[in-house]
Amino acid sequence: MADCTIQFENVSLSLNARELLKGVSLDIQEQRVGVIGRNGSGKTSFARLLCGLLAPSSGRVRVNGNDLFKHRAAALKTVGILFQNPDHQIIFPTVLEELSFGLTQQGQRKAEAMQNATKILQQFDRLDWAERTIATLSQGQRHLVCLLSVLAMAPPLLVLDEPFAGLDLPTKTYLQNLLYGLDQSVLHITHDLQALAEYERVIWLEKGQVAGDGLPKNIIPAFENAMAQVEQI
Amino acid sequence: MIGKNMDKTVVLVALFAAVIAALGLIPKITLISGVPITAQSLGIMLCGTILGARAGAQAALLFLGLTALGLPLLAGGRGGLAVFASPSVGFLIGFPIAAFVTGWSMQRLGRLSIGPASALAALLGGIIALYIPGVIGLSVMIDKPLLASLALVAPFLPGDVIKVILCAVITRAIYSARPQMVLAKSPQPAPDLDAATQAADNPPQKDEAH
Amino acid sequence: MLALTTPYQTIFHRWPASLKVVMLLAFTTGLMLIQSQMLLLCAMGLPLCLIASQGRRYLWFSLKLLRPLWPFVAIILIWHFYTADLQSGLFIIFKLAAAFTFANLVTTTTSLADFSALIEKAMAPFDKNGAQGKKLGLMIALTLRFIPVFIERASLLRLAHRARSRKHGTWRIIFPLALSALDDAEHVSEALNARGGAAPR
Repeated sequence: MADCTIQFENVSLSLNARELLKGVSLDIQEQRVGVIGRNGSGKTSFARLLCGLLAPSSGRVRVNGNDLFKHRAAALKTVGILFQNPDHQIIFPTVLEELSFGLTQQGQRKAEAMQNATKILQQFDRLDWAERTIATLSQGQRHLVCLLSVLAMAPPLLVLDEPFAGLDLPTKTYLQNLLYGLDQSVLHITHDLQALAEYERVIWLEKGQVAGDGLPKNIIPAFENAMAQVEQI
Repeated sequence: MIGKNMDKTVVLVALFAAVIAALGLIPKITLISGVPITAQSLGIMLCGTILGARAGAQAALLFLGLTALGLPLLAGGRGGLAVFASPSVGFLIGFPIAAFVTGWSMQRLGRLSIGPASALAALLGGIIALYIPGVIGLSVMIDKPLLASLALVAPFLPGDVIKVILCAVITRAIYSARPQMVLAKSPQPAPDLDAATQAADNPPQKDEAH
Repeated sequence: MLALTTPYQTIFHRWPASLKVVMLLAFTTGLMLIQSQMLLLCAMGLPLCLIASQGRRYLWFSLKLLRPLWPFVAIILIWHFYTADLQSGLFIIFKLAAAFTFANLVTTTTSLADFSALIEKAMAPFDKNGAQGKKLGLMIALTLRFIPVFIERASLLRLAHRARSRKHGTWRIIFPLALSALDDAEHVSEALNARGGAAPR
């Protein structure tokens, strides 16, 4: 299994006079970590800091010892992120082009990238998808394409920002099982508490701070209780 | 952080070229005079008022380039190199010019409020800067004097004036909905780098509706 | 996908794109210089013969592609009828039709991939580290990717409008379409950034 260490040292993030994260300190080495919280709790900011898409206003974020905001080349080799909507992530009109893109970004030559992209399609038994256009794929299939594009780059850490919302049960189950069997470390931000039942650690973010951190069987019920008592949205 | 700016501009140009193409499929409205008007030149005006001169012109050029390569993106499903051998070739060449002039005017008209500024910019770019090469091109291709060609296209002017007004209305609405995204008014291509990252943090809430 | 290439195979499909483009440029330039009617008739014959050599169906397909010229042909004919100078009217019309036909010939027998490769080669001497080519390639891909997305979104918007109004409001969808393009751009550029961005490596 790929090793991955994540360190948040007293991280705060403010944008537009809004405090999104306040003094978050975390040391993460587990392979399967879940992040839960209400909308606006800072989960999305957390994910973007983790991937180096944003820099903290104060504090340090390190993944495998690297500052991914400053070192984008290292970022490409270290972490892959999956967003919620495939239409916001798929850039190319055909599947093979989409898969090859990340590889050329990592420095591979075009021919080599296409070969490796074909290999990963083969690995997941989707060789016939190579020439297909994205427009002809269903939502669930597009989610898979997003996942494959990220996996093709073989990052040790996979960050998932609520990637399965809106999918039907069989598709969601299929994709979740796929994820669970992966070699890389997975950090999964989600509203779907059931999906995190087998995870090693769950972090609960509330109003930009860590409100809970531990085993799913402890944190999730506490979270559910707290949510049930919320009177206003 | 030029990288992030460039990413955004590249994406905006590409997406707006796609919008112009999609607008070609909106059914034509026929005016009382019997003249059909299409939405595409409105798309060109919007490229100018929303993206600014450079990015707007790039979007129009990208659209033209893809049309030249054979994609049926022009209203009516037309495309390919042949459209450049058609009498309306001047208007096609005018597309990026119109977008540029519209965007350039928007930036110069900073003192006016968005509505009047975009109307004026769309008039200068979408009509004047478009019709000049358009009429010249027509004149050359059908071998007629300029005035005659102007008379031939005159019936389309009322439709284009309506588009200028629509452009102003739409631009103003876009501005109030997404002020930080409109590139046209900023002197640099989006100094709103922070605004971009803020916006990146905010929209996900809307995605829940998927 | 969206394309104007013909489903009928012709030998021109196998000719290199660069050759076809050069031929087209030479032909249209030559056309502009022709003054004599005999020469024009021969020039017109050239694309027609090329097309006809590939079969009846391709010929019919190519002739149908001439439809967009209709309004202009009508205007010119009417004009020249009034000035009693039908001959020069026909001269203009034939020139237009010849150029149009040859251009269609090139378009319908050349794939997007072939054109893209041609553009890449043409840009190579001006594009030392490949940065411009990369940006252009990304933009083309993105546009092709999103055209179907926006087309579908436009029809959904139209449906949503019709569900709440008796009028057509076809043009009311432009604002939400443009707005959604801006929002999409936000997300896509973030996803692009997450994968290394458009900058040269």
